[in-house]
Formats: sequence, structure tokens, C-alpha cells
Amino acid sequence: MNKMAKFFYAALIALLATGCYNDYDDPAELKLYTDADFTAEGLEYISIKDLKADFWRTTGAGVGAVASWEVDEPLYTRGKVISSDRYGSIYKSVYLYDEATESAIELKLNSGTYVFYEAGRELFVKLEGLVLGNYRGMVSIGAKSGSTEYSNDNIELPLMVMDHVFRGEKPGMTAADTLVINASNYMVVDVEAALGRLVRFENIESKFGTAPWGYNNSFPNYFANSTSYDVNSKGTLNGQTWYEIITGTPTWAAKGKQDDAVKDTYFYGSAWFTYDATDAGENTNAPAGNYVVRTSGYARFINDPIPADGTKVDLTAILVKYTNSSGRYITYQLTLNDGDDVVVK
Amino acid sequence: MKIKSLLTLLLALVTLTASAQIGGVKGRVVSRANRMPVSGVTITLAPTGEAVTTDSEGNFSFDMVEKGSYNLTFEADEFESLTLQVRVDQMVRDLRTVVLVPAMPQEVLDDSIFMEFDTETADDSNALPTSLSASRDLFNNIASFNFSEMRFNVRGYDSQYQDVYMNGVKLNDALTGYSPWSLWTGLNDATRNQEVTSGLTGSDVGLGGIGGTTNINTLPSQMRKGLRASLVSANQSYRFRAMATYASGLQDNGWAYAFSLSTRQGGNDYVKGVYYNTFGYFAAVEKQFDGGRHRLALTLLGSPTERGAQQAAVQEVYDLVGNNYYNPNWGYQDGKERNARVRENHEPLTMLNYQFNISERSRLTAAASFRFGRNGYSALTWQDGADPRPDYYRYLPSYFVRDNNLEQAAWQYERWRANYNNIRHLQWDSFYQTNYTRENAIDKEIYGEGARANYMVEERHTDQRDWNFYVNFQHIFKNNSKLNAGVNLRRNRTEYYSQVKDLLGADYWVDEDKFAERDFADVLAKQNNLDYYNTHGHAHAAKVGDKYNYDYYAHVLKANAWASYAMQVGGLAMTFGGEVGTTKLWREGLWQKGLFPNNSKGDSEKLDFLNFKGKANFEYRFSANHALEANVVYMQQAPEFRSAFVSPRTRNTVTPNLEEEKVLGVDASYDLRYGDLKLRLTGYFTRIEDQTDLMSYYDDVNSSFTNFAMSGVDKLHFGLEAAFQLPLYRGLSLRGALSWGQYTYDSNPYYVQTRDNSAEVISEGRVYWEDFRVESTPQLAANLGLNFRSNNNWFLSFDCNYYDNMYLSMSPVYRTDEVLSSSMTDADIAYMRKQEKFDDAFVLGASIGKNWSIKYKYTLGFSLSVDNLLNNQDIKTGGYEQTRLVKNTETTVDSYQPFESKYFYMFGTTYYLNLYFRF
Repeated sequence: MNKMAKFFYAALIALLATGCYNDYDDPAELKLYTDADFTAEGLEYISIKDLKADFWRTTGAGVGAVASWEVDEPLYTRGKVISSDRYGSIYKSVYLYDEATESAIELKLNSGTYVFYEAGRELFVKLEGLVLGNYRGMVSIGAKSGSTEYSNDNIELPLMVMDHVFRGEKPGMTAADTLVINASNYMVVDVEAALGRLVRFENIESKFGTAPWGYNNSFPNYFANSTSYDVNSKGTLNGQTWYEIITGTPTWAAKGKQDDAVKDTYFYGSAWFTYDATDAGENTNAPAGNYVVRTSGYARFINDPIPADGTKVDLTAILVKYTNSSGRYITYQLTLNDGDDVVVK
Repeated sequence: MKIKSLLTLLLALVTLTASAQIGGVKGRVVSRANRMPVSGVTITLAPTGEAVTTDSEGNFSFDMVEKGSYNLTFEADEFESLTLQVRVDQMVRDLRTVVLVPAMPQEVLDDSIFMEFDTETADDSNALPTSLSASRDLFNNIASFNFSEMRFNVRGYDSQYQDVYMNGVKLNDALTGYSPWSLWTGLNDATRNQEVTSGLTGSDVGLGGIGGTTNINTLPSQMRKGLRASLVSANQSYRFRAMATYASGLQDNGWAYAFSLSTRQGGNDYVKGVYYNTFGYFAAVEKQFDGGRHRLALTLLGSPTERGAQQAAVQEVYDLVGNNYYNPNWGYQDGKERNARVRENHEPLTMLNYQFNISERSRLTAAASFRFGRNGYSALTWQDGADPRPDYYRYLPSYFVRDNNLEQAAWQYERWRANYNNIRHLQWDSFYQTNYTRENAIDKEIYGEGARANYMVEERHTDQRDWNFYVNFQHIFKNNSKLNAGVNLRRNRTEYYSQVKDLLGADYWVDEDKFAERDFADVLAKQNNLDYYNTHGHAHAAKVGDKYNYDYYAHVLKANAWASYAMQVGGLAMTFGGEVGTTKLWREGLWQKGLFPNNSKGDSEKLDFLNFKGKANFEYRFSANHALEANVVYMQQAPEFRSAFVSPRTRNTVTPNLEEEKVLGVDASYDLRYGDLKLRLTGYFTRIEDQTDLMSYYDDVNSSFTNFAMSGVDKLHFGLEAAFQLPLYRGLSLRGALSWGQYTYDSNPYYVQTRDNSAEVISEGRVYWEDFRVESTPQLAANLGLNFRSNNNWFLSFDCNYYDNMYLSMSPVYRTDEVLSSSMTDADIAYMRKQEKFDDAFVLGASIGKNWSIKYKYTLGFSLSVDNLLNNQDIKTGGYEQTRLVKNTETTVDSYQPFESKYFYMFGTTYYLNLYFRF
């Protein structure tokens, strides 16, 4: 027994000498920022509207040109998140809306932004060191690009995001966050001022067929994600348009279906919605009241059908603009957050 | 320092009636390992001091011995010394058979060099078991203690070619074939009794393959009687080890029992985030009936293990952080280090052994074993957002350099150098803080209250239920030839699944396939468990402890019968053996996968394979001092489960062109022994054909997660082994070993690449790597050392080791036509396919030890070994090419170049101090 006692004594010492490795406290919740945090650092607030105006003034660029403005002043801006990339249509971006100036801007980040910056949450952006850039008429906040072809890049580095983007309170989405356009006001609403905003188009008509403006393109149409894309231009494969290849009920976007060569290809989809489809002539800008919903092939709702020709819908989407590099063929495009944002009347 | 095993004496001493004053003693000495005669054993008769040596048949004799009591001491290199008390009367007393136990070498060999293995080993520096095993063989002995620092594999073989048994039951992993050291890791005392054969030599418990055999004997009657306790302080794998073992020895009532407990704790001096929190327990009880004619033993052992793992990194990161021991697996959580990749396993092994000594010449043994428990390996998982791994390639300066964004590259360089905001580590606090805010109306409507996790720690499980049954019969004929035959049956059912381990502040994880979600808009396609979805209308909101992602069984059935016959004709000893068996493998899906509703749930095709083996061993002993040995084996064996299915987590599809592996091996040795002068020279040749290998990776060319199955992988291993020991002066001796080999791929295997999400074949062809080198072991290793052992139990050693011809593990993808583009020149192609050879390395080590005998009853001792005395921290010990490719965006034609390779490095100076006490 004496030996056994020694044995267990030794064993007890061994066990008592062991450590603990998996005992972690839950970290505190993330601090929610306010203006005071930034002004205390000596940063100056600039509204989104003023920021965009400063961009155009500073760069003096044409609407279709590649232009950058690297902010070298201690500025910050703020806005409420009005977009979500949860369903894959919006990609690597959030749109921030400032209710006071009724202005919005794109903030180019990484994927899965909805996880970190959910719709309805206020964000603060430290601008110094970031780059504002123009892409075919749309101004965005991003990082400096290594390519001369792009005016800025996404802020993809997590730590860089943490240095520049700060979460504030979450007041949630309100009716005031959405601009309403309908058949009676589409001619008078200043869409240029509303770029980047969440807009609800009420009672707008889905239109299939050849658009009597721009390149006289047919809608719906599709372009491979990897193809240089112009919503107004016609793309073909082996003499067929993508629309002819991707047959069946038109959907918001597509993953290649019939042809072996494209069966694994993701296609952007373009759908035409209009308040006034009157002929505007070839080589023109899209006339007021005509919009193109552009949806990524990676969107979760690509298989949802586009409302049939002539169907009236309420459609809520982010309003964006697209021109060619010379600033011509202006089209106002719409990016859906979710397929459910299209409600058939 | 020699480890003493317990002594076994088979035959009782015979009392003879005295009628004269002069008698004698004679007998025959055999090895317990194989019951074969041991020549050259020095037997000293005390107190007369007379000594004799056994002949080639192991026989010895003392004549003209006066009546009285004597101590007979048997001493031989590589065997435990044995002292017997003998009473001599007027006749020659025949001790008949005296059994010597092969000695085990120094204690400083710690089983942490073996470590555990699972299916995700490439990244874990300690995961792959080596094929080393300490043994009485001079070469293996030196190689075990010196070459393990370079993860040396004997003859370049993976550990699956080394058969590891416990009490006769072969326990190599049923799914991978790898040696099962992790089952008893830390139980050094309890598993100390090992009988080891090397190369092609078989053993009593099986024919063996090409990598030798190890049989661990845990029967308590054969363990050293008494208490043994030890404390270790070290800085290589863990900080501290404590171990206590007690064995009763065989008691008068026929019972014997033994217990052992151990723990290892702490991390090391070089890699942050790694640690050991491991325990070991062992209990065995044995009862002998009928004077030892029947023996029944029950053993239970287990090693509850928690171990933080290290992963390899690219050289760019090592350079940024200023050393070669960066570990991307950890970060701070609320100020405390936390590792995302933790192995946690507890797989108890229980075994019942029966031995029936039918006669002095015949013995029947039987055993049954059962292995069960859990084996998990954790990993950080995320649903959406940027890759959270700190060393993800897009976060390194080189990414921005390639993108021609030099300003951003410079910034990122400075951030890494300064560890700005802990950029080098996982951001645990951020993961929690994101999860906290994930409560939202959309998810609430589907999954109910709570926050949906975007980050969580999962634990991938490989939980085995492994049953083994074994019967062995041995008979020694009157001409001393020996028949040995056995039957082995194995049934293994392993459940593979992943489970939610920690939700990091969230309340649930939605069990959907995020890759399928990207590729398919169909809501059914992204379901990991269609049955659940169909029942509940949504995917499972998994809580901590719930299974998620995949769940399936691997089934393995094995049966084989073998026999060997050993005989001796003059000086020529011959053993011939044969084995035949069958293996059946199949997958049983427990969940219906949305992507493969018709090929994921239920049984797969059942795959049958024929195994057979033929083996012959020849040993010609010119005299007691030198001998020639030659061995040959040809065997065919089933592929392992791990390579039998293209994507076992998702479906039942069998790997194309799956077939049995064939191995031809020959070796020949010359053995010289003159007292303490020893020399062994060996040449070997092995050809392995028709191996199958499988890997899954993200293919940048096809922008898809893919499965890459290779068949017809052939390898050629040939080389020389040499070892010597030269006594210089008294206890001082010079020792050395050399392993030179050439291990190459001997074919351009055929491959088929399929898209994981659709099973579509997207590429097939050849992998062009014939004549390239087999990876992960130095193909040249040499040792030269001085050993000193004093009369008063001091020992010292000093070793110089040299390594060369070590190569990086290749990605087959880089060596296919698929990655070529029309713009590539021959030089580009050569660059893409070139295999990296590591620099040669020179490493010094030393050890010292001493033990004291206290009152002839207790032993107190210590040993200290110090490795890498020159503190060289630039020695690569392994690594691998990443499978991904960098897309070159500066050309009009898509072209690719390899990702940077990842490496492991030998630690700088390390020590291992062991204090022990026994009685």
C-alpha cells in the first residue's frame, strides 16, 4: 500500500501541475462612435454632398474619365448604410446616405459588407489617405489603385478598413431614406443629385424589346461577367447574342445554360424599366423615365424571372449612372439589394 | 543510458540430486523478439569469474563447476543483462532455454517526435508521424536519436510502411495506414517494452512490410517491477512532463498489474500559440493460470490530448516578422493568446490478450482490441467577408507589388514589420464584435431569436470505432525450425463530421454550403442536410456541439492470414513467409447533400481488394562475429480509405482508376561484431507501384474548388545504410551512421480533376514529375559521434549530424499541361515545374547523464540532451508547394505562376532534461 500511496501522490502532483488553455473571456462589444470621437482628434466633418462636389472641383474631370483625388486633409464624413450585399447583387460596396444633404456615395470595401455594416447603421469614414475616384459618372470612396485604368480600388485590407471605417449607432432604416419616383415626378426629380441613393420607383413598367435609344439594344440581355461590359452594347458568341444563347424565361441574371462553352459562365443581366418608352433615337442618352436594372450573375436571385413585358411594379434599388468613357450614352442603372425589392402591382 | 526491460525466464530451474562434488551448467540463449538463438553472449559465473561465450546456436556450457550457489550473468550488446541464481550439484545442470530481452536505447527519445496524424496534416508541423523507431539495431538506434530532428524517414518511406503492433495486434490507422503513436503518446514507461525489427525483417507477430515492425508489449508481468517516476523540463515541444508508473511484477498468486499516469504541459521557446495539455493513463492486469500455462491480460490506455498546432508560412512572412517560427494560427482574445487550430483527441484503447503455452514448443495467443473515442481538429470558419487569416496572400506586400501598387506594398511592409494593430495575428476580438451585431430581422424570421454567427470555430472529427481480432500460433520443431502463423480480422467504422465548437459570441450557425450558394441560386443546392431542410423548411441553425457541414461513415473490413517458416541449414538461417487477405471499403453518407441528392446518402459502391505478400529472409553467419543477410518481399495491398473517394465529405464517387498498390523490396546487409566493435552495411532497393493520391484545392485556372485524383503513382527508393561503433579507450567509443538514398517518382501519373460542386470532369492528363524527388526527408543523412560511459554510470555523448538532398513536397498541379499557356517559354515551363532542393545542414548535439544507486534499492538519475548547439535557425525541415496559382494580369493571355511555397524550420538550440527515480 505504501508503494501505491507513493504512486498516487506522484500522480496527484503531476495533475495539479497542469495548466488551463481554453479559458477565454468574451471581448467587450465594439465601441460605437459619434462625431465627438472624430472632432476630438481634430478631424473636420465634411458632408457627402460637399465631398462629391469637392471631388469634381478638385479633379475637374469629365463624367466618363478616370479621375482620382487622394484626400490629404484631416476630414471625416458620415452616412447611413442603405445597401446590402447579402444577396450578391451589390458586391464589395456599401452606399452611405446623408439625410441632411440628401446625398449618397459608394464606399468600396471587401466582400460581405452586410455582415459588418448592416443597413440602417451609421458609419464614419476617416478620409485622409483614402482616394475618391470616378467610374463612368459615379464617385466612390476607396483606396489608391496601382493601375492607371482605375481611379481607385476597394479597401480590402481588414486592418485598413479598421483604420478608416467606424461603426456608429444603428437608427435603422426610415421612410426618409428612400427617394420615391413615380410617373408624375420622374421628369422633375434631380437624379444626378440622387446618385447612390436608395430609390423606390413606383408603378414602373417592365419592358421587353429593343430600346429606342442608345445603341438600340434589346432587353433583357446578358453579358458574361468576364466580358468587358456596356449595358447598351450588343455582345455575341459565335454569331448569337447572349440573349439567344440563354433561352427560356428571362431572369434577372444567368449562369450559362445550354451551350457547353458558357455553361459555367456567370452573366450579368440587364432589364429595362420605363415610365416613357418613346423613341429617343440611336446614339443618344437614355431619356428620362428609362432605367436599366443590372444584376450580377452571382446574385442569389438570378433565377427569379424578370416581370413580364408590360408588368407594372414597385421597384426599390440603388440608383447609379453609367456612361461610356467619353461621358456619352448616359444610362441610369438600378442595382437591386434583393429580388424581393421588386413588387408586382 | 540503457533502459532496462523486465526479464523473462521461461523455464524453471531443475533440482538435481547430488551424488558428486563436481558438476556444470549449460543452456541455450534465445531472443525474446523472435526466439532465435543469440550468439556472442558473454556469460559470467560469479564468484569464480569464469566466462564463456555462446556459439552460433546460442549454446553455452560451464564444466567442472564445484557444488554451490552461483550467479550467472548474461551480457550482450543490445540485450538487457540478465542474472540468474543457479545451484550446481554433482551433475551438469541444463537450464535449457534462457531468454534475453532486447534492450531499448536512451530515454531521451520522446514520443513527441511521432505525434498524431489526421487528414489535414500538411500544414501542421508536428502532425506527420515519422517512420523512425528506436531499436537495438545500431543504425536505427543512431538514426532515431539524431536524425529525428530533421523528420528523417528511414529509407524515405512514409510511416504507413512500418507495422506497429501492441501485444500482437496491428494498430496502424485503418483509414490512412499511418503508425498510431498518438494513441499512447506520453505513456513512455508503459509502452517501453518494444520488440523492433528493421527493414524487410519480419517479427513474431507478423511478416512486416518494408519499413520494419514494432511490437509493444504491455503485459504487466513483463514490465519492470517497482515504481518509476520522472520529471522532464524541455523547450522543444512542451515545457514540462511528469510521469509515474508502477508495476507489481508477477506475484505469487499469479496476478500482475501495472498503472501509469503522465501529463505534458506548456509550449516551446520558438513558436507562439502552440502548447501541450495532454495526459496519459494506462492500466493493465494479468492473471496466469496453471503455472503460467494460461495467461489472460486486460489493458486499457488512453491519452487525452489537447495540442495547439503550428502551420507553415511563406518565406515572405518569416522575413517580415524576423524569424522562421511565425505561426498564423493564433491571435489575442481579450489580451490572451488563442490558437484556432487545436487538436483534441481522446481515443481509449482496450485490449484483451490470451496466451496458451501448449507445450514448451507450442504457443497459442489471441487478442481482441477496441479503439473508440473522439478525435477532433479545430479550425476557424467564416461565412462571409474577407479572409480572416493574417497571412492570406492578398494581405502581404508581395500581392501589391504584383499589382504594381508599390505605395500600398510599402505601407503593408511597414505594418507587418511593426506588427501594427497585431496585423500578424488573428483578430479574435473583432470576430466576436462582428458576431454580436448579427441579430437581424431577416434571419430572425427564419431561424428565430439570436445572433447568427459569421465566424465560428468548428471541430472536424475523425471518430473511430476500431475492432481487431488476432490469433497466432507458434511451434518450434525439434530441429529448431519454427512455424509461425496468424489470422487478423479488423472492422473499422469511422465517423467523419464537423461540429460547432465555439460560436464566438453568436447564438447559432446556419448550416449551408457557402460555395454552393455562390455557384447555384437553387436553395436546395446549398443544403448540407436536405433531410433537415425538407423537414423544417430551412437549414439547420446549429448550436455549440451540433454537427454541421458533413457527416458520413468510413467502413473498412480487413481479413488476412499469414504464416512463416524459419529454418536453419548449417550457418544459413532462412525464413519464408506468405500472407493473403482481403479488404473491403465503402462510404456511408449520413446526410443527403443538396448538390448530390442521389449520390450522397447511404452506402457507396463496396470496393473489394485482394492483398497478398510473399517474403523470404536469408542470413548466413560466417562465425559468431559476422554475417550476411538478404531479404526480399513482394506485396500487393489495398489503397487506403483516405484516397478511395473523390470527395468523401460530399458524395460517394469513387476515385478513378483506383487499384491495389504493389511493392517490391530487396535488401542485403553485412554485419560485423567483435566485442564492442560493430559494423553494419546495408543496401536496399524498393519499387512502389500504382499508388493513388487525392487532393482538393481551389483551382485558379477554372475558378472553382476542385478534386484532383492521381493514379499510377510509382516510386523508386534505393540506397545504402551504414553504421559502426568503434571502441577507443575504456568507456569511450566512436559511433557513426550514414544513410544515402535516392527516392524518386518513377512515373508520370494519370490524373482526373473534377469540379467539387458538380462532379464535372474539367481536366485530365499526366503529372510530369518522373525522376523528381520524393519529399520530406533528407536523402543523405550522416552522423558521427563520441560516446563515453563510465564505470560509475556517467555517460556523455557528442554528435555531429549532416543532412543533404532534402526536397520540397510538390504540388502535382504545377506539373500538368493545364497550367501552361501559349505565351510560356520553355524556361517558364521549367521554372513552373522545378522542384526546390533545400540547403544542406550541419547540426551538433550533446547529452550527459548520470544515475546513482541508493542502498542498492533505489535509482536516482538524470539525463540532459541539447540539440542544435550552433543555434542555426535557418534549416528547413519540410514544406510544401501551395496548389494555388497567381494569375498574371499583365499579359493579354491568361498566365499563371506558382504561389510561394510554405516551410517549416528546425528550432534553434533546444534542451531536454529528465530527472527520474525508480525502485
